[in-house]
Amino acid sequence: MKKVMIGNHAVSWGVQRSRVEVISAYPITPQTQIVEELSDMCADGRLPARYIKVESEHSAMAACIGASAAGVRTFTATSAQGLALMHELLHWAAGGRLPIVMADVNRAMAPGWNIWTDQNDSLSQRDTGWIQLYCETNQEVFDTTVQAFRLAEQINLPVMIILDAFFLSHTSEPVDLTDQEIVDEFLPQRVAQYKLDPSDPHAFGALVRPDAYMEMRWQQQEAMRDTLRVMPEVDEAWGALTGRRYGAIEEYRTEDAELLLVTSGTITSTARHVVDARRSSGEKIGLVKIKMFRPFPTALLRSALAGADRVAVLDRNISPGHGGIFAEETRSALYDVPLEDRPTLFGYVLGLGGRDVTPSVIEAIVDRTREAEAPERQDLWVGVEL
Amino acid sequence: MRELRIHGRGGQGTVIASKLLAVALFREGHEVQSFPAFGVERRGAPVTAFLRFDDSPIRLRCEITAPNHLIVLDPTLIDAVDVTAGLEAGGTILINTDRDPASYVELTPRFTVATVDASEIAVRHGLGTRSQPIVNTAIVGASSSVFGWFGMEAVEAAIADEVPVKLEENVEAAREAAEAVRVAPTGEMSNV
Amino acid sequence: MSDITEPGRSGRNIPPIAISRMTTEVNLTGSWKYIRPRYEDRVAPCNANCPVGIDIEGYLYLLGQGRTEEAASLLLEENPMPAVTGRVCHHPCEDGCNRANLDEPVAIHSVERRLGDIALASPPPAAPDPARDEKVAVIGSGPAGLACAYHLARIGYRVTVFEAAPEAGGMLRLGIPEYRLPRAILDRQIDRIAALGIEIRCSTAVGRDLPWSELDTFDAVFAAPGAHVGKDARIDGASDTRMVRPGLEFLKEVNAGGRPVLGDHVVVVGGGNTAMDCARSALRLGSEVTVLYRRTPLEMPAIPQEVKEAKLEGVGFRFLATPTAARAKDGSLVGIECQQMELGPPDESGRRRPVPQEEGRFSMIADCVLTAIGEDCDLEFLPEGVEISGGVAAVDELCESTTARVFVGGDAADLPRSVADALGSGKRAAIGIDHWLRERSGEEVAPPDLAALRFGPGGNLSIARERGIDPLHRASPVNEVAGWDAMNPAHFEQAPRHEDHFHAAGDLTATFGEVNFGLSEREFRDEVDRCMNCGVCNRCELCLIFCPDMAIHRRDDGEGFEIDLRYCKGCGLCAAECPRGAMAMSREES
Repeated sequence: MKKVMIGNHAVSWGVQRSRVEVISAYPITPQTQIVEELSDMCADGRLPARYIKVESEHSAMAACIGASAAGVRTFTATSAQGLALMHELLHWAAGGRLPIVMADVNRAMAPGWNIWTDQNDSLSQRDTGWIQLYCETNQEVFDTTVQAFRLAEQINLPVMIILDAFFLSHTSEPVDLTDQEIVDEFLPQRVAQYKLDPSDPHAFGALVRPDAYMEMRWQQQEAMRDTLRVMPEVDEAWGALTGRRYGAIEEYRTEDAELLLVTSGTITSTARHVVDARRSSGEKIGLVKIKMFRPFPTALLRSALAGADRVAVLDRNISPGHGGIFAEETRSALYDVPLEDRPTLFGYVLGLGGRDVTPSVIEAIVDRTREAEAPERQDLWVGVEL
Repeated sequence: MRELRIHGRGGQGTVIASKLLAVALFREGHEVQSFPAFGVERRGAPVTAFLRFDDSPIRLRCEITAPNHLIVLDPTLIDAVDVTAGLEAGGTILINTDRDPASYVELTPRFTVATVDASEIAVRHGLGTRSQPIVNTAIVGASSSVFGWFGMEAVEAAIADEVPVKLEENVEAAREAAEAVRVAPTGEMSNV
Repeated sequence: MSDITEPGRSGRNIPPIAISRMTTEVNLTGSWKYIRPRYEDRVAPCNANCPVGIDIEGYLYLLGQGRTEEAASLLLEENPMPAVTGRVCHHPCEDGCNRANLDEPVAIHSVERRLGDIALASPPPAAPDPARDEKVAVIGSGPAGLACAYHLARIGYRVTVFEAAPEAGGMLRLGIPEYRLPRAILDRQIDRIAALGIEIRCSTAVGRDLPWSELDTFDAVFAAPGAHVGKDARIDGASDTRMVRPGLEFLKEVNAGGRPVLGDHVVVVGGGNTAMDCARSALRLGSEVTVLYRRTPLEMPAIPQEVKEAKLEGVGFRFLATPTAARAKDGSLVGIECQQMELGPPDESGRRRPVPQEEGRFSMIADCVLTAIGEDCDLEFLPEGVEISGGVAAVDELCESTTARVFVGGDAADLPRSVADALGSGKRAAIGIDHWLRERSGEEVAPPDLAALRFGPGGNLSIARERGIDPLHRASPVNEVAGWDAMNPAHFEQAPRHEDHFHAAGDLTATFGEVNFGLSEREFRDEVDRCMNCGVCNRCELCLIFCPDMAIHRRDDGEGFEIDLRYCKGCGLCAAECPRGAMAMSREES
């Protein structure tokens, strides 16, 4: 069934189709519509789940952790400051190896108070141990939500689905809501490896001494390494049922490309538009979209980029004191590429706080990357007028 | 690809109007994308919404600065906001007003102007109040005849999908507005 | 420095998450403690405040558990007529309710009314086995007499009630208007009491229709004749007209179905419940009514709700005023002279005494004056040995008079004159008579332990306690009232009180139909949920949840918890978190 809907509701429907059993969330713009719709679904019976109201995002994640530890499928959603408030419990969820799925609507961090999109909220949670999947369209949002539960439950790690504020969250476009029977075939009921069970009581989350802590972390890192293998398998299984696949990264018109754009989120769409226009005038240009940021698809990215002359990474985020975060991670991935194959990397910072990224902005980046001898700075900021 | 911009005031149903257009166009087989100007909403304050449609998937994900056409839900906005900013020459402006389209002499030389008294139609069907009519369904009905992109069947289906109350009244308002709309083609001089 | 990790070599099996893999039962953490918790139920302030001595908190708990039948049965244990008290009691229980510190008191009277009506709709009780041979005579079928008869019959005594009026009910029927207490309710409530095997002989006034000596065949007598003699308002010239009438006499006439013609302007003298009943009844007969009261609204003894309703219905009030003389013409009253008063120094009741204001005279048009400034008892029929003091019989706590075998209670004893106090008095008399008869028959019985039978140090006696009935399985109860200090307000959310629904005031003056409709089913449930069960464990399980050593377990019989002292380390979290002060800590014996 194809329906025109906003990205937020695409998340809600993905959650509905995934037969989530417990939802706990606290409203925050621009995420609120996700849980508002879910609350309606719980109330009118479309989703027979328990919706737990709480007084903060910290409590929302705490409730999800409890529910997930009890073995049920669990979801929450948040944005920006709300995600920041959850920070401590994001570690608890990941360290507890709980397959919680959360939607984060990318919103710029305050101050200055801002409700528009950028990626600093989710990227600030980089080292909490959550898988991060960035989306480009409302269809991808729906598909990724369903995929996220299977991925999370297969490897026992929490997954964050990330969508841009407004450009997806509040934008209406057609979404194919995969039939329930197909989703059921794809996503079996969760079987928890460890769960709170009164008939077999254990203490969870207690003290771990130095003689076991590293072993726990090692296993968490192993799960992340496994994800690099499992995520494409899950994507392929979904693709076999629906015809829609995304990959951990996507290469778009990269064959023989001399210049490659590296993007994430909705900037990717507008960049595709520019790539198409330039290709039709004969330019050897392509695009690599990063969907999965954690675990970072280093090997895939390395092989996609090696051989190009120049790479322009477009970052709607900034690590203060360093550079655009995707650019720095990409630069690090390219370090092992032999010098002769290693492209020159240009890191552009743009679109912060929801500033619009139009085709002409991307055109300018393409031209500059092509024409400059070398990047004159680690981070090249686009459109700052001071 | 066609791009449309809708100007209204908070409370008039501007964002729903863009969604209704998107659903009607989708039902006619187009790829669609509609969205509000992102920001904080307030009753009575100027509100903008956007619509794109095409026959292939829509790649652009940015605001619309050079629309092909305009819809204006509140005629007082024409003086308050630069509504024609970036509007393509020869584009159509559909205005909710009781005025004759040819009377917009400042617009007619460069644009096609269409008018319909959607407020009066809405109030008559019990949609909103006289001081705050909800005109989105009427204006979508008028769009159907002005632009010719979708038929009344698609409009009715869109209303059934997206408007939770007063289904019959909304459909009737859309039908009436489709009949009542008047058009002054680009270049037509005023005769008033 | 260790090797670079090559997993799978060591054979160590470390789980991926922090999860316990063995029991800590071997750690008997209880050995650390120097104080220990215990469950210790106390008394909720509503119970302590109830003149009837009802286990209010207990029936609210049972209602909260969905155990409605048990709740009704616990209520009926102490109160023979809840459908009546739910309507007419002045509910001092609510004055004590701890919930007032959080938002508003629980609407106990509304809950009791509904529960009383539920009980009234159930099949009538079977007459108990006549376990005792003794016969008891009860004089008066008002609330005191019926309560005494009820409790004695339930113990197994054979009881005969003598009522002077043609129908049973005493002041409930004669004095309280039908719009407050529908007769169908009263009749059914009395029928259920009589169904216990009690004989009620109406139109039989002891001393008039039946000499006292006829009572010699009874083993004990409880006299509860009520107070029926209206005090004289001392209005000059009142005897020139029949239209200056005792209010109680007027009420009796109306309540018996009479519809006397009072005229356009009626003045009611007094500020108590009888005055309010007179005023609202006169209003229903079509008169314009003004209440004259010699003090201010603050001193009015009437139930505030009654005053409020009277005002809503259109009764006028004139305070600090008293009638002095009646002006009659050809036997008809035309007006009254009044004296304006002011408040002087306090009298023996603690209220400021009204004194005449100089120059403060005025007159009022009046076609009828109803005086309701209090009633006296007629105790002439009592045998000589019964000591009378201050117009009432001198009796002890259990209503025993100065004459053997004779007990006196209700309005005829020195009590606040309310339905609830009368019911409480009748119950005390039943306990007293039961004990006296057992002692007389040679049973070895200890005198009733009044302190133990009371709800709290000053409450009325509980017959359930005397009979050892406790459907709540209260744990080691102590007879101490759980005040607000005992409560842990962090565990309660504010929830506004539901008020009774009333008939719209505009269109009721032509009817004697009931004006108060009580609460809806949902509102009733809400009020039950608002009860905090002060001082008493209601199995909320917070102690179990908070115990860091998991030393608290549900008891197998489902009635509360037990503490495994081998593991309880005396941290006191359970007692501190208990929302209702039902736990206590005590020092370990060294």
